[in-house]
Amino acid sequence: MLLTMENVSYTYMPGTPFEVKALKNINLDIDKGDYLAIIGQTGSGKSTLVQHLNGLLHPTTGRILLDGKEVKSKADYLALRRRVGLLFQFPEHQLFEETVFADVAFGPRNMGLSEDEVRERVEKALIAVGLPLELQSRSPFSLSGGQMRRVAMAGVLAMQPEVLILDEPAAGLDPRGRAEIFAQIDKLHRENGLTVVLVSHSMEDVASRAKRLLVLANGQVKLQGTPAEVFTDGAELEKLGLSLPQMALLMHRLRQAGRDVPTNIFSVAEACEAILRMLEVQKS
Amino acid sequence: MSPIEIIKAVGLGHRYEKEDEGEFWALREINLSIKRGEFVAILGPNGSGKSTLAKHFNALLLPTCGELYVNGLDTKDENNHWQIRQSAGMVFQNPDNQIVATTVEEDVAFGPENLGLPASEIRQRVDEALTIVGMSAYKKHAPHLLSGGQKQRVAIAGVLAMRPQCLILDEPTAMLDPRGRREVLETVTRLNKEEGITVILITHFMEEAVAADRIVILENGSIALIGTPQEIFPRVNELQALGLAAPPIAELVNELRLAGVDLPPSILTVDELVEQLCC
Repeated sequence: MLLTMENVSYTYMPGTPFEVKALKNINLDIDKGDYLAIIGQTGSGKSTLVQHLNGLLHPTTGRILLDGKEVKSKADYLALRRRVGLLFQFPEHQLFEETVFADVAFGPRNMGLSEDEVRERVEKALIAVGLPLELQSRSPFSLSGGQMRRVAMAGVLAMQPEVLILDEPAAGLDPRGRAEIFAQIDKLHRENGLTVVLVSHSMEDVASRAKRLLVLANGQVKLQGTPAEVFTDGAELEKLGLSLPQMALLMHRLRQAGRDVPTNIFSVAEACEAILRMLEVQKS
Repeated sequence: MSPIEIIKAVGLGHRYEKEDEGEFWALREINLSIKRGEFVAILGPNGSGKSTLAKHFNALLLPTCGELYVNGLDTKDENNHWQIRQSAGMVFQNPDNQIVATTVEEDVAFGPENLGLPASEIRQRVDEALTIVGMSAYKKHAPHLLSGGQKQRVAIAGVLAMRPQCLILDEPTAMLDPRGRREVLETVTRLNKEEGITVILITHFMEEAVAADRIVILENGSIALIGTPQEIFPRVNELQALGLAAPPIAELVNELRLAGVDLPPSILTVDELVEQLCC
Protein backbone atom coordinates (compact mmCIF):
# COMPACT_ATOMS: atom_id res chain seq x y z
CA MET A 1 0.00 0.00 0.00
CA LEU A 2 1.37 3.43 -0.97
CA LEU A 3 -0.32 5.51 1.71
CA THR A 4 -2.29 4.45 4.77
CA MET A 5 -4.11 6.35 7.48
CA GLU A 6 -4.53 4.18 10.55
CA ASN A 7 -7.02 5.26 13.23
CA VAL A 8 -6.11 8.88 12.63
CA SER A 9 -7.75 11.54 14.80
CA TYR A 10 -6.88 15.20 14.77
CA THR A 11 -7.81 17.90 17.26
CA TYR A 12 -7.32 21.60 16.62
CA MET A 13 -6.21 23.60 19.67
CA PRO A 14 -6.41 20.72 22.16
CA GLY A 15 -6.89 21.62 25.80
CA THR A 16 -8.31 25.08 25.04
CA PRO A 17 -11.95 26.23 25.01
CA PHE A 18 -11.64 26.30 21.20
CA GLU A 19 -10.81 22.59 20.93
CA VAL A 20 -12.32 21.06 17.78
CA LYS A 21 -12.14 17.36 16.93
CA ALA A 22 -11.73 17.70 13.15
CA LEU A 23 -11.00 14.04 12.36
CA LYS A 24 -12.20 11.01 14.26
CA ASN A 25 -10.65 7.62 13.76
CA ILE A 26 -10.00 7.72 10.03
CA ASN A 27 -8.84 4.56 8.27
CA LEU A 28 -7.91 4.92 4.63
CA ASP A 29 -5.74 3.09 2.10
CA ILE A 30 -4.48 4.69 -1.07
CA ASP A 31 -2.98 2.40 -3.68
CA LYS A 32 -0.57 3.31 -6.46
CA GLY A 33 -2.62 4.42 -9.47
CA ASP A 34 -5.71 5.14 -7.39
CA TYR A 35 -8.18 7.91 -8.24
CA LEU A 36 -9.89 8.77 -4.98
CA ALA A 37 -12.41 11.55 -4.47
CA ILE A 38 -13.26 12.97 -1.05
CA ILE A 39 -16.64 14.65 -0.70
CA GLY A 40 -18.48 16.17 2.22
CA GLN A 41 -19.95 19.44 3.43
CA THR A 42 -17.86 22.48 4.28
CA GLY A 43 -16.34 21.77 7.69
CA SER A 44 -16.59 17.98 7.39
CA GLY A 45 -12.81 17.55 7.65
CA LYS A 46 -11.81 17.14 4.00
CA SER A 47 -8.97 19.69 4.03
CA THR A 48 -7.72 18.51 7.43
CA LEU A 49 -7.60 14.95 6.09
CA VAL A 50 -5.63 15.75 2.94
CA GLN A 51 -3.13 17.84 4.89
CA HIS A 52 -2.25 14.63 6.77
CA LEU A 53 -1.54 12.87 3.49
CA ASN A 54 1.42 15.12 2.74
CA GLY A 55 2.55 15.72 6.29
CA LEU A 56 1.43 19.33 6.74
CA LEU A 57 -0.51 18.16 9.78
CA HIS A 58 0.56 15.37 12.11
CA PRO A 59 -2.08 13.06 13.64
CA THR A 60 -3.08 13.78 17.26
CA THR A 61 -3.52 10.01 17.60
CA GLY A 62 -3.09 7.24 15.04
CA ARG A 63 -0.47 6.75 12.33
CA ILE A 64 0.34 7.60 8.73
CA LEU A 65 2.17 4.89 6.78
CA LEU A 66 4.13 5.40 3.57
CA ASP A 67 4.96 2.16 1.76
CA GLY A 68 3.84 0.35 4.90
CA LYS A 69 6.35 2.20 7.10
CA GLU A 70 5.22 4.64 9.77
CA VAL A 71 5.99 8.28 9.05
CA LYS A 72 7.69 9.48 12.24
CA SER A 73 11.03 11.23 11.92
CA LYS A 74 11.76 14.56 10.28
CA ALA A 75 13.35 12.69 7.35
CA ASP A 76 10.19 10.57 6.97
CA TYR A 77 8.04 13.69 6.75
CA LEU A 78 10.39 15.25 4.23
CA ALA A 79 10.08 12.15 2.04
CA LEU A 80 6.28 12.22 2.40
CA ARG A 81 6.15 15.86 1.31
CA ARG A 82 8.30 15.13 -1.74
CA ARG A 83 6.23 12.20 -2.88
CA VAL A 84 2.81 13.69 -2.22
CA GLY A 85 2.04 17.04 -3.84
CA LEU A 86 -0.83 19.18 -2.59
CA LEU A 87 -2.57 21.84 -4.65
CA PHE A 88 -4.57 24.09 -2.36
CA GLN A 89 -7.88 25.78 -3.12
CA PHE A 90 -7.43 28.94 -5.21
CA PRO A 91 -3.69 28.15 -5.56
CA GLU A 92 -3.23 31.17 -7.84
CA HIS A 93 -3.24 33.29 -4.67
CA GLN A 94 0.09 31.72 -3.81
CA LEU A 95 1.96 32.71 -6.97
CA PHE A 96 4.65 35.20 -6.09
CA GLU A 97 7.57 35.16 -8.54
CA GLU A 98 8.21 37.67 -11.30
CA THR A 99 7.95 35.17 -14.13
CA VAL A 100 6.02 31.97 -14.77
CA PHE A 101 9.34 30.14 -15.12
CA ALA A 102 10.63 31.30 -11.74
CA ASP A 103 7.39 30.38 -10.03
CA VAL A 104 7.30 26.84 -11.39
CA ALA A 105 11.06 26.46 -10.79
CA PHE A 106 10.82 27.46 -7.13
CA GLY A 107 10.28 23.91 -5.80
CA PRO A 108 12.84 22.08 -7.98
CA ARG A 109 15.46 24.78 -7.21
CA ASN A 110 14.92 24.23 -3.49
CA MET A 111 15.59 20.53 -4.06
CA GLY A 112 19.09 21.55 -5.16
CA LEU A 113 18.75 20.34 -8.75
CA SER A 114 21.04 21.64 -11.48
CA GLU A 115 19.74 24.54 -13.57
CA ASP A 116 19.43 22.21 -16.61
CA GLU A 117 17.36 19.76 -14.65
CA VAL A 118 15.22 22.58 -13.28
CA ARG A 119 14.59 23.87 -16.80
CA GLU A 120 13.66 20.41 -18.03
CA ARG A 121 11.22 19.89 -15.15
CA VAL A 122 9.61 23.30 -15.61
CA GLU A 123 9.03 22.73 -19.31
CA LYS A 124 7.64 19.25 -18.73
CA ALA A 125 5.28 20.56 -16.06
CA LEU A 126 4.06 23.45 -18.22
CA ILE A 127 3.38 21.05 -21.09
CA ALA A 128 1.55 18.69 -18.73
CA VAL A 129 -0.87 21.45 -17.68
CA GLY A 130 -1.33 22.60 -21.26
CA LEU A 131 0.36 26.00 -21.03
CA PRO A 132 2.36 27.26 -24.04
CA LEU A 133 6.10 27.56 -23.25
CA GLU A 134 6.09 31.16 -24.57
CA LEU A 135 4.37 32.15 -21.34
CA GLN A 136 7.49 31.28 -19.30
CA SER A 137 8.91 34.79 -19.35
CA ARG A 138 5.57 36.50 -18.63
CA SER A 139 4.52 37.67 -15.21
CA PRO A 140 2.07 35.14 -13.75
CA PHE A 141 -0.12 38.08 -12.73
CA SER A 142 -0.72 39.08 -16.35
CA LEU A 143 -2.43 35.74 -17.07
CA SER A 144 -6.12 34.81 -16.85
CA GLY A 145 -7.46 33.13 -13.71
CA GLY A 146 -7.54 29.71 -15.38
CA GLN A 147 -3.97 30.09 -16.64
CA MET A 148 -2.72 31.24 -13.23
CA ARG A 149 -4.27 28.18 -11.67
CA ARG A 150 -2.45 25.98 -14.15
CA VAL A 151 0.87 27.71 -13.36
CA ALA A 152 0.29 26.81 -9.70
CA MET A 153 -0.48 23.23 -10.67
CA ALA A 154 2.70 23.10 -12.79
CA GLY A 155 4.63 24.24 -9.70
CA VAL A 156 3.43 21.16 -7.82
CA LEU A 157 3.99 18.81 -10.79
CA ALA A 158 7.55 20.08 -11.23
CA MET A 159 8.33 18.37 -7.91
CA GLN A 160 7.36 15.13 -9.72
CA PRO A 161 5.15 13.77 -6.96
CA GLU A 162 3.72 10.24 -7.09
CA VAL A 163 0.48 11.39 -5.53
CA LEU A 164 -1.28 14.61 -6.48
CA ILE A 165 -3.90 15.97 -4.09
CA LEU A 166 -6.17 18.65 -5.48
CA ASP A 167 -8.49 20.67 -3.25
CA GLU A 168 -11.37 21.98 -5.40
CA PRO A 169 -9.19 22.48 -8.49
CA ALA A 170 -12.06 23.85 -10.61
CA ALA A 171 -13.69 26.25 -8.12
CA GLY A 172 -14.50 29.58 -9.73
CA LEU A 173 -13.60 28.47 -13.27
CA ASP A 174 -16.03 28.67 -16.18
CA PRO A 175 -17.31 25.45 -17.81
CA ARG A 176 -14.51 25.38 -20.39
CA GLY A 177 -11.85 26.04 -17.74
CA ARG A 178 -13.33 23.26 -15.59
CA ALA A 179 -13.34 20.80 -18.48
CA GLU A 180 -9.73 21.68 -19.39
CA ILE A 181 -8.28 21.33 -15.91
CA PHE A 182 -10.04 17.99 -15.35
CA ALA A 183 -8.94 16.72 -18.76
CA GLN A 184 -5.33 17.42 -17.77
CA ILE A 185 -5.69 15.73 -14.37
CA ASP A 186 -7.31 12.68 -15.96
CA LYS A 187 -4.57 12.50 -18.58
CA LEU A 188 -1.80 12.59 -15.94
CA HIS A 189 -3.60 9.79 -14.14
CA ARG A 190 -4.15 7.70 -17.26
CA GLU A 191 -0.85 8.20 -19.07
CA ASN A 192 1.68 8.81 -16.29
CA GLY A 193 0.02 6.60 -13.69
CA LEU A 194 -0.22 9.55 -11.28
CA THR A 195 -2.18 8.69 -8.15
CA VAL A 196 -4.90 11.33 -7.69
CA VAL A 197 -6.82 12.45 -4.61
CA LEU A 198 -9.54 14.93 -5.51
CA VAL A 199 -11.52 17.04 -3.04
CA SER A 200 -14.67 18.42 -4.63
CA HIS A 201 -18.14 19.83 -4.04
CA SER A 202 -19.35 18.81 -7.47
CA MET A 203 -21.03 15.41 -7.48
CA GLU A 204 -20.95 15.48 -11.31
CA ASP A 205 -17.19 15.89 -11.42
CA VAL A 206 -16.38 13.08 -9.00
CA ALA A 207 -19.01 10.59 -10.20
CA SER A 208 -17.72 10.42 -13.74
CA ARG A 209 -14.00 10.18 -13.00
CA ALA A 210 -13.04 8.84 -9.55
CA LYS A 211 -12.58 5.11 -9.00
CA ARG A 212 -13.44 5.41 -5.34
CA LEU A 213 -15.33 7.89 -3.19
CA LEU A 214 -14.96 8.74 0.46
CA VAL A 215 -17.83 10.65 2.08
CA LEU A 216 -16.92 12.60 5.21
CA ALA A 217 -19.28 14.14 7.77
CA ASN A 218 -18.24 15.63 11.12
CA GLY A 219 -14.74 14.28 10.74
CA GLN A 220 -15.85 10.69 10.21
CA VAL A 221 -16.05 8.41 7.19
CA LYS A 222 -19.78 7.97 6.49
CA LEU A 223 -19.73 6.18 3.17
CA GLN A 224 -17.02 4.62 1.06
CA GLY A 225 -17.03 2.78 -2.25
CA THR A 226 -17.27 3.11 -6.02
CA PRO A 227 -19.45 5.96 -7.39
CA ALA A 228 -22.12 3.36 -8.19
CA GLU A 229 -22.08 2.18 -4.57
CA VAL A 230 -22.06 5.64 -2.97
CA PHE A 231 -24.64 7.24 -5.25
CA THR A 232 -27.41 4.74 -4.50
CA ASP A 233 -29.15 6.41 -1.57
CA GLY A 234 -30.20 9.97 -2.38
CA ALA A 235 -31.93 10.49 0.98
CA GLU A 236 -28.81 9.51 2.92
CA LEU A 237 -26.66 11.89 0.85
CA GLU A 238 -29.13 14.76 1.37
CA LYS A 239 -28.81 14.22 5.12
CA LEU A 240 -25.06 14.63 4.75
CA GLY A 241 -25.59 17.90 2.84
CA LEU A 242 -24.71 16.34 -0.51
CA SER A 243 -26.81 15.26 -3.46
CA LEU A 244 -27.01 12.73 -6.26
CA PRO A 245 -25.47 13.74 -9.59
CA GLN A 246 -28.24 15.04 -11.89
CA MET A 247 -28.22 12.03 -14.22
CA ALA A 248 -28.39 9.55 -11.33
CA LEU A 249 -31.23 11.61 -9.82
CA LEU A 250 -33.11 11.42 -13.12
CA MET A 251 -32.68 7.64 -13.23
CA HIS A 252 -33.91 7.28 -9.65
CA ARG A 253 -37.01 9.34 -10.48
CA LEU A 254 -37.74 7.26 -13.57
CA ARG A 255 -37.44 4.13 -11.43
CA GLN A 256 -39.85 5.58 -8.87
CA ALA A 257 -42.26 6.15 -11.76
CA GLY A 258 -42.10 2.43 -12.47
CA ARG A 259 -39.61 2.43 -15.34
CA ASP A 260 -36.97 -0.28 -15.47
CA VAL A 261 -33.73 1.70 -15.80
CA PRO A 262 -30.31 1.27 -14.20
CA THR A 263 -29.43 3.90 -11.56
CA ASN A 264 -25.63 3.83 -11.73
CA ILE A 265 -25.60 6.37 -14.55
CA PHE A 266 -23.50 9.53 -14.29
CA SER A 267 -22.89 10.99 -17.74
CA VAL A 268 -25.26 12.48 -20.33
CA ALA A 269 -24.16 9.88 -22.90
CA GLU A 270 -24.96 6.97 -20.55
CA ALA A 271 -28.30 8.50 -19.60
CA CYS A 272 -29.22 8.99 -23.26
CA GLU A 273 -28.44 5.36 -24.00
CA ALA A 274 -30.44 4.10 -21.00
CA ILE A 275 -33.50 6.20 -21.88
CA LEU A 276 -33.43 5.12 -25.52
CA ARG A 277 -33.34 1.49 -24.35
CA MET A 278 -36.22 2.17 -21.95
CA LEU A 279 -38.32 3.71 -24.74
CA GLU A 280 -37.47 0.76 -27.00
CA VAL A 281 -38.77 -1.70 -24.38
CA GLN A 282 -41.92 0.39 -23.88
CA LYS A 283 -42.69 0.25 -27.59
CA SER A 284 -42.42 -3.52 -27.94
CA MET B 1 -42.60 58.02 -10.08
CA SER B 2 -39.63 55.74 -10.60
CA PRO B 3 -39.06 54.28 -14.06
CA ILE B 4 -40.01 50.70 -14.96
CA GLU B 5 -36.39 49.93 -15.70
CA ILE B 6 -34.30 49.68 -12.58
CA ILE B 7 -31.13 49.37 -14.64
CA LYS B 8 -30.50 50.69 -18.09
CA ALA B 9 -27.21 50.57 -20.00
CA VAL B 10 -26.93 52.63 -23.17
CA GLY B 11 -23.89 52.00 -25.36
CA LEU B 12 -21.92 51.27 -22.19
CA GLY B 13 -18.18 50.71 -22.64
CA HIS B 14 -15.46 50.18 -20.06
CA ARG B 15 -11.73 50.42 -20.64
CA TYR B 16 -9.07 49.26 -18.19
CA GLU B 17 -5.54 50.62 -18.47
CA LYS B 18 -3.12 47.77 -17.92
CA GLU B 19 0.47 48.63 -17.17
CA ASP B 20 2.21 46.10 -19.38
CA GLU B 21 -0.40 45.55 -22.09
CA GLY B 22 -1.81 49.00 -22.63
CA GLU B 23 -5.55 49.50 -22.72
CA PHE B 24 -8.15 46.79 -22.69
CA TRP B 25 -11.87 47.14 -23.39
CA ALA B 26 -13.66 44.97 -20.82
CA LEU B 27 -17.11 46.08 -21.99
CA ARG B 28 -18.19 47.33 -25.40
CA GLU B 29 -21.49 48.78 -26.58
CA ILE B 30 -23.67 47.19 -23.92
CA ASN B 31 -27.36 47.98 -24.35
CA LEU B 32 -29.44 46.37 -21.66
CA SER B 33 -32.60 47.10 -19.70
CA ILE B 34 -33.51 45.27 -16.52
CA LYS B 35 -37.08 45.67 -15.33
CA ARG B 36 -38.13 46.18 -11.73
CA GLY B 37 -38.79 42.76 -10.13
CA GLU B 38 -36.95 40.82 -12.81
CA PHE B 39 -34.55 37.92 -12.09
CA VAL B 40 -31.68 38.13 -14.56
CA ALA B 41 -28.75 35.72 -14.71
CA ILE B 42 -25.51 36.90 -16.29
CA LEU B 43 -23.33 34.14 -17.72
CA GLY B 44 -20.12 34.08 -19.69
CA PRO B 45 -16.61 32.64 -19.59
CA ASN B 46 -13.92 33.98 -17.21
CA GLY B 47 -12.80 37.35 -18.46
CA SER B 48 -15.95 38.07 -20.47
CA GLY B 49 -16.80 41.19 -18.46
CA LYS B 50 -19.46 39.89 -16.04
CA SER B 51 -17.97 41.31 -12.85
CA THR B 52 -17.05 44.58 -14.56
CA LEU B 53 -20.66 44.99 -15.68
CA ALA B 54 -21.95 44.20 -12.18
CA LYS B 55 -19.72 46.88 -10.69
CA HIS B 56 -21.34 49.44 -12.99
CA PHE B 57 -24.75 48.52 -11.57
CA ASN B 58 -23.92 50.16 -8.25
CA ALA B 59 -21.45 52.74 -9.46
CA LEU B 60 -18.32 50.98 -8.18
CA LEU B 61 -17.09 51.53 -11.73
CA LEU B 62 -18.07 54.37 -14.05
CA PRO B 63 -18.57 54.17 -17.83
CA THR B 64 -15.63 55.02 -20.09
CA CYS B 65 -18.27 55.75 -22.72
CA GLY B 66 -22.04 55.45 -22.91
CA GLU B 67 -24.34 55.73 -19.89
CA LEU B 68 -25.62 53.62 -17.08
CA TYR B 69 -28.80 54.52 -15.22
CA VAL B 70 -29.94 53.01 -11.92
CA ASN B 71 -33.52 53.98 -11.15
CA GLY B 72 -33.17 56.67 -13.79
CA LEU B 73 -30.09 58.14 -12.07
CA ASP B 74 -26.95 58.55 -14.16
CA THR B 75 -23.95 56.89 -12.45
CA LYS B 76 -21.63 59.49 -13.97
CA ASP B 77 -23.05 62.11 -11.62
CA GLU B 78 -21.26 61.66 -8.32
CA ASN B 79 -24.14 63.30 -6.45
CA ASN B 80 -26.25 60.24 -7.32
CA HIS B 81 -23.85 57.64 -5.92
CA TRP B 82 -25.22 57.55 -2.39
CA GLN B 83 -28.74 56.92 -3.63
CA ILE B 84 -27.62 54.41 -6.27
CA ARG B 85 -25.67 52.34 -3.76
CA GLN B 86 -28.65 52.27 -1.46
CA SER B 87 -30.94 50.99 -4.17
CA ALA B 88 -28.52 48.41 -5.59
CA GLY B 89 -26.76 46.19 -3.03
CA MET B 90 -23.96 43.80 -3.87
CA VAL B 91 -22.94 40.36 -2.56
CA PHE B 92 -19.55 38.93 -3.53
CA GLN B 93 -18.03 35.48 -4.01
CA ASN B 94 -16.15 34.98 -0.78
CA PRO B 95 -18.31 35.38 2.34
CA ASP B 96 -15.21 35.57 4.55
CA ASN B 97 -14.20 38.85 2.92
CA GLN B 98 -17.58 40.46 3.61
CA ILE B 99 -18.05 39.81 7.29
CA VAL B 100 -16.90 42.57 9.60
CA ALA B 101 -18.41 42.04 13.07
CA THR B 102 -18.14 39.49 15.86
CA THR B 103 -21.81 38.48 15.98
CA VAL B 104 -24.28 37.85 13.18
CA GLU B 105 -26.65 40.65 14.23
CA GLU B 106 -23.88 43.22 14.58
CA ASP B 107 -22.67 42.29 11.14
CA VAL B 108 -26.11 42.81 9.62
CA ALA B 109 -26.52 46.07 11.57
CA PHE B 110 -23.30 47.53 10.15
CA GLY B 111 -24.94 49.05 7.05
CA PRO B 112 -28.05 50.53 8.69
CA GLU B 113 -25.89 51.94 11.51
CA ASN B 114 -23.91 53.84 8.91
CA LEU B 115 -27.14 55.31 7.57
CA GLY B 116 -27.53 57.03 10.94
CA LEU B 117 -30.92 55.44 11.61
CA PRO B 118 -32.48 55.42 15.11
CA ALA B 119 -31.72 52.27 17.18
CA SER B 120 -35.30 50.96 17.04
CA GLU B 121 -35.30 51.18 13.24
CA ILE B 122 -31.96 49.38 13.05
CA ARG B 123 -33.25 46.63 15.38
CA GLN B 124 -36.32 46.17 13.21
CA ARG B 125 -34.36 46.06 9.95
CA VAL B 126 -31.83 43.55 11.30
CA ASP B 127 -34.54 41.22 12.65
CA GLU B 128 -36.49 41.43 9.43
CA ALA B 129 -33.45 40.77 7.22
CA LEU B 130 -32.37 37.78 9.30
CA THR B 131 -35.90 36.35 9.20
CA ILE B 132 -36.03 36.65 5.42
CA VAL B 133 -32.78 34.70 4.95
CA GLY B 134 -33.74 32.18 7.65
CA MET B 135 -30.90 33.02 10.04
CA SER B 136 -32.76 34.52 13.06
CA ALA B 137 -31.79 31.59 15.26
CA TYR B 138 -28.13 32.46 14.75
CA LYS B 139 -28.22 36.17 15.53
CA LYS B 140 -25.98 35.90 18.59
CA HIS B 141 -23.56 33.49 16.89
CA ALA B 142 -20.03 34.31 15.76
CA PRO B 143 -20.10 34.55 11.95
CA HIS B 144 -16.77 32.75 11.42
CA LEU B 145 -18.18 29.57 12.95
CA LEU B 146 -21.06 29.34 10.47
CA SER B 147 -21.08 27.16 7.34
CA GLY B 148 -20.33 28.74 3.97
CA GLY B 149 -23.99 28.85 2.97
CA GLN B 150 -24.96 30.41 6.30
CA LYS B 151 -22.23 33.05 6.03
CA GLN B 152 -23.37 33.95 2.55
CA ARG B 153 -26.97 34.28 3.81
CA VAL B 154 -25.72 36.62 6.54
CA ALA B 155 -23.95 38.66 3.85
CA ILE B 156 -27.25 38.82 1.92
CA ALA B 157 -29.07 39.89 5.11
CA GLY B 158 -26.51 42.68 5.54
CA VAL B 159 -27.39 43.99 2.10
CA LEU B 160 -31.13 43.50 2.67
CA ALA B 161 -30.99 45.58 5.85
CA MET B 162 -30.18 48.51 3.56
CA ARG B 163 -33.59 47.87 1.92
CA PRO B 164 -32.25 47.79 -1.64
CA GLN B 165 -34.58 47.48 -4.61
CA CYS B 166 -32.01 45.46 -6.47
CA LEU B 167 -29.68 42.71 -5.30
CA ILE B 168 -26.55 42.01 -7.35
CA LEU B 169 -24.78 38.73 -6.58
CA ASP B 170 -21.35 38.04 -8.09
CA GLU B 171 -20.81 34.27 -8.04
CA PRO B 172 -22.26 33.93 -4.54
CA THR B 173 -22.10 30.13 -4.57
CA ALA B 174 -18.66 29.54 -6.11
CA MET B 175 -17.12 28.51 -2.79
CA LEU B 176 -20.08 26.61 -1.33
CA ASP B 177 -21.00 22.95 -1.03
CA PRO B 178 -24.24 21.60 -2.57
CA ARG B 179 -26.34 22.36 0.51
CA GLY B 180 -24.91 25.87 0.79
CA ARG B 181 -25.60 26.49 -2.88
CA ARG B 182 -29.19 25.32 -2.50
CA GLU B 183 -29.72 27.53 0.58
CA VAL B 184 -28.43 30.64 -1.17
CA LEU B 185 -30.33 29.99 -4.40
CA GLU B 186 -33.60 29.32 -2.56
CA THR B 187 -33.13 32.50 -0.54
CA VAL B 188 -32.47 34.58 -3.64
CA THR B 189 -35.41 33.10 -5.53
CA ARG B 190 -37.72 33.75 -2.58
CA LEU B 191 -36.55 37.36 -2.27
CA ASN B 192 -37.37 37.85 -5.91
CA LYS B 193 -40.76 36.11 -5.96
CA GLU B 194 -42.08 37.13 -2.54
CA GLU B 195 -40.38 40.43 -1.75
CA GLY B 196 -40.33 41.63 -5.34
CA ILE B 197 -36.62 42.48 -5.20
CA THR B 198 -34.86 42.67 -8.55
CA VAL B 199 -32.13 40.02 -8.67
CA ILE B 200 -29.06 40.04 -10.87
CA LEU B 201 -27.12 36.80 -10.47
CA ILE B 202 -23.69 36.26 -11.96
CA THR B 203 -22.79 32.59 -12.00
CA HIS B 204 -20.80 29.82 -13.65
CA PHE B 205 -23.38 27.22 -12.67
CA MET B 206 -25.84 26.87 -15.53
CA GLU B 207 -28.35 25.04 -13.30
CA GLU B 208 -28.68 28.18 -11.20
CA ALA B 209 -29.65 30.26 -14.22
CA VAL B 210 -32.57 27.92 -14.96
CA ALA B 211 -34.63 29.73 -12.29
CA ALA B 212 -34.07 33.17 -13.88
CA ASP B 213 -36.59 35.12 -15.98
CA ARG B 214 -33.90 36.09 -18.46
CA ILE B 215 -30.32 35.15 -19.24
CA VAL B 216 -27.67 37.51 -20.57
CA ILE B 217 -24.54 35.86 -21.98
CA LEU B 218 -21.39 37.96 -22.33
CA GLU B 219 -18.44 37.20 -24.56
CA ASN B 220 -15.37 39.45 -24.82
CA GLY B 221 -17.25 42.31 -23.23
CA SER B 222 -20.27 42.22 -25.56
CA ILE B 223 -23.70 40.64 -25.23
CA ALA B 224 -23.59 37.40 -27.24
CA LEU B 225 -27.02 35.97 -26.41
CA ILE B 226 -30.03 37.19 -24.48
CA GLY B 227 -33.35 35.45 -23.81
CA THR B 228 -35.33 33.21 -21.45
CA PRO B 229 -33.65 30.02 -20.15
CA GLN B 230 -36.07 28.06 -22.33
CA GLU B 231 -34.85 29.97 -25.38
CA ILE B 232 -31.14 29.91 -24.54
CA PHE B 233 -30.35 26.50 -23.08
CA PRO B 234 -31.56 24.30 -25.94
CA ARG B 235 -28.85 25.98 -28.08
CA VAL B 236 -26.29 23.46 -26.84
CA ASN B 237 -23.75 23.90 -29.65
CA GLU B 238 -23.75 27.69 -29.53
CA LEU B 239 -23.20 27.58 -25.78
CA GLN B 240 -20.28 25.21 -26.20
CA ALA B 241 -18.72 27.50 -28.80
CA LEU B 242 -18.93 30.29 -26.21
CA GLY B 243 -17.01 28.16 -23.70
CA LEU B 244 -20.14 27.48 -21.67
CA ALA B 245 -22.21 24.35 -21.23
CA ALA B 246 -25.95 23.78 -21.21
CA PRO B 247 -27.35 22.38 -17.94
CA PRO B 248 -27.00 18.56 -18.02
CA ILE B 249 -30.74 18.02 -18.52
CA ALA B 250 -30.87 20.39 -21.52
CA GLU B 251 -27.87 18.57 -22.98
CA LEU B 252 -29.58 15.20 -22.49
CA VAL B 253 -32.82 16.45 -24.08
CA ASN B 254 -30.79 17.68 -27.06
CA GLU B 255 -29.14 14.24 -27.43
CA LEU B 256 -32.48 12.45 -27.15
CA ARG B 257 -34.04 14.72 -29.77
CA LEU B 258 -31.12 14.07 -32.12
CA ALA B 259 -31.77 10.34 -31.62
CA GLY B 260 -35.35 10.93 -32.78
CA VAL B 261 -37.21 11.06 -29.46
CA ASP B 262 -40.20 13.42 -29.61
CA LEU B 263 -39.59 15.92 -26.79
CA PRO B 264 -40.07 19.69 -26.50
CA PRO B 265 -36.63 21.35 -26.62
CA SER B 266 -37.41 23.68 -23.70
CA ILE B 267 -37.15 21.04 -20.92
CA LEU B 268 -34.63 22.16 -18.28
CA THR B 269 -35.36 20.21 -15.09
CA VAL B 270 -35.42 16.57 -13.93
CA ASP B 271 -39.11 16.89 -13.01
CA GLU B 272 -40.12 18.17 -16.44
CA LEU B 273 -38.23 15.40 -18.20
CA VAL B 274 -39.63 12.62 -15.99
CA GLU B 275 -43.13 13.95 -16.65
CA GLN B 276 -42.58 14.02 -20.42
CA LEU B 277 -41.08 10.53 -20.51
CA CYS B 278 -43.67 8.89 -18.27
CA CYS B 279 -46.92 10.33 -19.61
